[in-house]
Parts: sequence; C-alpha cells; structure tokens
Amino acid sequence: MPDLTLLAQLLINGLILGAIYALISVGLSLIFGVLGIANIAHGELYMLGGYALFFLMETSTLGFWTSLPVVVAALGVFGYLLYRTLLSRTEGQESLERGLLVTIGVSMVLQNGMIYILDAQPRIVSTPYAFNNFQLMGLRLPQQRLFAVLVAIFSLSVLYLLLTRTRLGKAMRAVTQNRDAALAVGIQPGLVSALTVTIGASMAGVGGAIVAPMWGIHPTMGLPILFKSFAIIVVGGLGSIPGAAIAAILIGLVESFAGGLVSIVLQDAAAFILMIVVLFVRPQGILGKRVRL
Amino acid sequence: MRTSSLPFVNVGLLLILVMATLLSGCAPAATPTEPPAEPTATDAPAPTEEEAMPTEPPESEAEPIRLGFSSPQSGPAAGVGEQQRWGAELAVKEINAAGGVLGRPLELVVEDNACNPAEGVTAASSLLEQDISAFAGPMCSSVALAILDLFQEAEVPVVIGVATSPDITPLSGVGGNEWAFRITPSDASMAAAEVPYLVDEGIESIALVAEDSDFGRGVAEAFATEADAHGITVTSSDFFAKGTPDFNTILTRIDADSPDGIAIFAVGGDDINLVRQILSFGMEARIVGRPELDLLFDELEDPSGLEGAVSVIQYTTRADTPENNAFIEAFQAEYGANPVLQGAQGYQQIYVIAEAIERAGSDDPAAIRDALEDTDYLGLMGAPISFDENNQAHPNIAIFVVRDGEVVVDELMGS
Repeated sequence: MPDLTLLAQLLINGLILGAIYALISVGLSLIFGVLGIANIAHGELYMLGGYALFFLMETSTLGFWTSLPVVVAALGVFGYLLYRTLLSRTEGQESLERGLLVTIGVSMVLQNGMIYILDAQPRIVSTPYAFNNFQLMGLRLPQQRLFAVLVAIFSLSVLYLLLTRTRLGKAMRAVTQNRDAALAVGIQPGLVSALTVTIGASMAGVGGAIVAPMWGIHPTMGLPILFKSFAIIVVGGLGSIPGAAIAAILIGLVESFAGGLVSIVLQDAAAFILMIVVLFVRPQGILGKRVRL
Repeated sequence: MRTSSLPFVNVGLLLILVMATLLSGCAPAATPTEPPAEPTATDAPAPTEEEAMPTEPPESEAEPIRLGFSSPQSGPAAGVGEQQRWGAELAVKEINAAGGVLGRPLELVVEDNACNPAEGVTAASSLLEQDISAFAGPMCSSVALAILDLFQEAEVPVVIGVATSPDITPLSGVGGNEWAFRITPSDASMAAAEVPYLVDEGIESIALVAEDSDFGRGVAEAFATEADAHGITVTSSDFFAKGTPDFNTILTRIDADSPDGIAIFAVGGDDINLVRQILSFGMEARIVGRPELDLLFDELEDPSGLEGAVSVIQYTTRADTPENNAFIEAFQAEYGANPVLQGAQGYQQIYVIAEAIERAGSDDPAAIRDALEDTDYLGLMGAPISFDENNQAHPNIAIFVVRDGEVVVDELMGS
C-alpha cells in the first residue's frame, strides 16, 4: 500500500502537469471552437514559445520573468499573421479538412525550418531557480514547477475574465455557439477569428516558455504535447473551454498516478486510453454539447 | 452535407488518424540525440606535412582496397555518427599516407544508416554491391542486429565498433555468425565492471531508468542481472519513450523507495533532461549506470549535484597512453574537436581491418576474416584488442567518478 506522502506528492505532480496541459489545450480548444480548425501547428507554437524564451534570455539582459511578456507579444503577433496569411483562407465550407491540411503544412515548415536554421540539438534553458525546491513534510515542490503553475493559473484567469467580461470574449463565445447568428447580429467573424488565433498562439507560447526551463527545448518538442492536447480537448468536449481545462487537470492527475504507481509506459498511454473511453461512453466529451457541426 | 448525428465521433476519429500519421512519420525525430561533444569548428585545418608528402606514396595505378562503412549521417544520432565516420576517415588517411596496405591505398565507401534498422539494411545492401572487402560500422545496436545476416550471406567480414547490445555476442563467432567481430565490450561486460565497484562504494539498492530501445532494454537487463549476482536490490525498472519530457512522476515513486543509487541509461538530450529533473527534485540517490558525465558537465548550468556519480565507458580521452595521445592530437588537428567514443571506435575499426588485410596478404574477404581471428592490435585504451570464440574483444574500459566537482577516471580495467 503506497503511503500518504507518495500519494500527496503524486497529487501535487498531477496538478502541476494538469495546469501546464490546460494552458496549452485551452488555446487549441478556443481556435477549434471559433474557427472550426483543428490546429495541428499548435505544438509548433508551443515550441516557438520555448525558443523565444531561450533566445531572449541568451541574447538580452531579460530574465525569466521579464521575458515572458515579450514571448506572449511575439507569439501573439505570429498568431495574428498566421491567421491573416493562411488560416483566414480556410474558413467556410469544409473548414475542418482544409484547416487540417494547412496547419499540417505550417507545422512541418516550422519544425523542419527550425532544424534547418539551427539544428536538432536539444538546448537547456537556464534559470537561477533550476535546482531549487521547497520541501515540507516530505513533500517536494521544485521552484520552477511552482512558477509554471502560477503562470498557468494567471494566464487561464485572464482568459476567463476576457471571455466572460469583455465584448470580445462574448463575441468569441457567440461565434463558437452559432456562427450565422453571430453574423446576423453584426459580429465580425474575421476580426474575432484573428484575435482568437492571436490569443491561442500566445497561450501556447507561454506554455512552451514555462516548460522550457524544466524540460529543455528542441525542434520536435511540440509533437507529444500536440497529441496530448488533442486527447484533452476531445475528452473535455471539442470547443468547450472549461471542458478542456477540466480534462487537462484530469489527464495530468491520471498520468501522475499511472506513472507514479504503475509505470511510465502506462503514463504515456493514459491520455489516449482516457480519450478512447470517452469517445465510447460520452462521444461529445465531458462538457461538450451534442450539436451538429 | 454534414448530417451525422455524432459529429464529435467523426472529428475525434479524424484527429486520431491525423495524430497516428504524424506520430508514425515523425516519431524518430522527436528525440534529438546529440554527440557528447559536438565539434564547434567543422573547417579542417590546412593539410599537415605528412599528408602533403607521404613518405611512401602508394602507386598511383594500384587499385584501392574498398572498405564499406555506415553510420548515422542523418537523423537524431547524426552528430555522433559523423564522429565515427571522422575516426574511420582519419585512420584511412593515416594508413594511406604511410603507404597503404599491401602497397595499395584504402578507399572508404560511406553510406548513411540513420540509426534505423530499415535504412541500415538498405545501406548494407548497397555497400555489398560495391565490391567491398570488409565492413566497419554501424554504430547502433538495432542496426547491427538487423544487418549481420546480410554480411554472413555475402561472406564479407564485419567489424562492429560501437554497438554494445549483449544480444550480439551469442550471435557472433562459434555457432553463430563467423563473419561478425566486435571491438567494443558489450553492455554485459561493462555492467560486470561497474556493479562490483558500486558494491565497494556501499550501494545496496538501485532503481533503473532506461530508454525504451534495444540499447536501453539490453543494458538495463545486463545491469540487473549483474546487480542480482552481487546482492544489490533492484527496487524498480522504468523504460521511457525517447523524448519523454517529464520524469517527475516516476522520480516520485523511485524516491519513495529511497534506493542508494539511480542507474540511468539514456543518450544525449534525454540524458540531460533526466539528470536535471533528478537534481531539481532533490533526490539523494547517487546517479550511476551510464550517465554521459562529460556531456553533463558541459551542458548543466550547475553540475555540482553530480558529486559521487559513477559511470563506465569504453573510451575516454583521459586514458593516458601513447597511442591515445597521438590519436587525440591527430583528431584535433584534422577536425578541430575532441574525439568522443564513436570517433575513437571508428578509428580503431579501420586499423583492426587494415592490420588483418596486411596479415592475410590479400583483399579477399574470406582471407581477411580468417586473419581477423588472430587479431592482436594494441587499442587506444592501452590493452590489446583480440577476439574470443564469440569474436568479441575485451579492451580496457574506464570507471568514471565525479569527485570534488570533477570527472575523474577511477580505474582503467580489462573487460
């Protein structure tokens, strides 16, 4: 019987993982909801966030905290341009299929472009907190992980306020719920979509930036997180923001306990096992509504 | 028109399909592995006098003796694969500058195997069609295991330099593939050298963490067997997919067992990531197994947490033998970088083959094979390379220890 300290530690680890996953998959879910696009390039936005932090910290005097807003801005601009140049052309009929193809292309270009420009070498992002950790009653909390969670919670709260308290947020939710009706009441879907991709890209970028000091960066780091994020938004209900956040925490916890009590192999499979189960039992996901696309 | 009553299922299935496609297409690239010491300067310095004016230039009309070579030249392992090629090319250059073999120059025919069994087989087949007298390569164990049969059928001798899988030993020599020779000790011999050392250090329990590959599985099994024999308890074994980002969950479980040591078997980026998380988690277990200590000391922002770590390696620039010092100097002059394990093994592979050709007095593959059996070549690590009945050599290996913040060779011993 595993002791309480171990279980409590696994709970903490799981919540940390879940908060990080939430940050990344919420953006993916948002883009899916508003644009109807499954953004395969989301993992690469996350990768770019990690690299942006790395280069800011290497080449400027900015530290970890001061670099984060720059990463947010840089990825936001990147997301906006991505929408204006490519994603805006996929809207309309068959947007899911066309969006898939376009974003697969973007993903390949970014990934291989990074390998071409730099190399495939993994890089460490050093912060002064790398090897610090807090200990209390046998429980451990590495400082960098604590920071990651704080940033994730802060970013998710900002997004929540944006969606519920601002006109833009309401417009975004309106487009998600019914695009045609939103058009009819005068919402400009183009602008809403552009801002959605901007926000989604920023959040993926922050996600990459907060994990970079813990896990390092390399050009293909986005792939595993992309798969996991898709599993999360399917479990949570496609297009549902709270659903994605809840599913992310759930999957973080399941992974932590699977890895901590059984094996790391099961940990890797956990998200997908959960996704398959949900598709069988509740195909619309935890919070998904059973609507026609 | 989209009239499905269960659109979510369709979207979900579509996503699964896309993910599966991406995963199968890109999985190998997800684990960048870089050499312990990536050379910084690739431009070779000006030719030395020796090569500009070879003392005994081979007859220009003499037909070269062709040797096949493959290592990863692309993909995640390309960096260290290139080192192995450099080592082999340096040996060829030196031998040719000194008059070649049997009065004929050596010619290295190079193919890329990407550390991937399928591409390894393609590379080997292509080399076998190019009239080669012997083969050196292929770096990765999974490639070696895939291609050995091809060379047996073609009756061309193979000298393996880097692949350490214990599975190769029983397949070679008497009762197996008589065309395969290996100059690197296997993971089993390396574990046999390290485990008694750990016992002496007072380590009684160990957790294993290894990458999920032929290398990781093989080395962990060899290590566990040896640990068992010496009364060390193995508290857990974990095999992670290459490129796994987060290790905290398993580290939590391992830490709850409080083993004296955590034996890690990972390469390049995975090695760095795993060790950083062990250190940031504040584990007290000593890091043992096969951590790439030189690489970690180069890369980690603060390697002080590695104090007391133990590793074992089949080549090190720290071995102070005349042969090694000469090799390091020549390698640096040629490539502007320090040789790593792969570079040294590529170099020795070619010398072992060249020496066998000299004794065979012929470039006939069968004659070279027979001559290889009697190999007695003084290796860079100061012990002779000669083959047992499994065509397995037992060169020296080094036990690395981190002491007072520095990597030191504690022992240079036979394998």
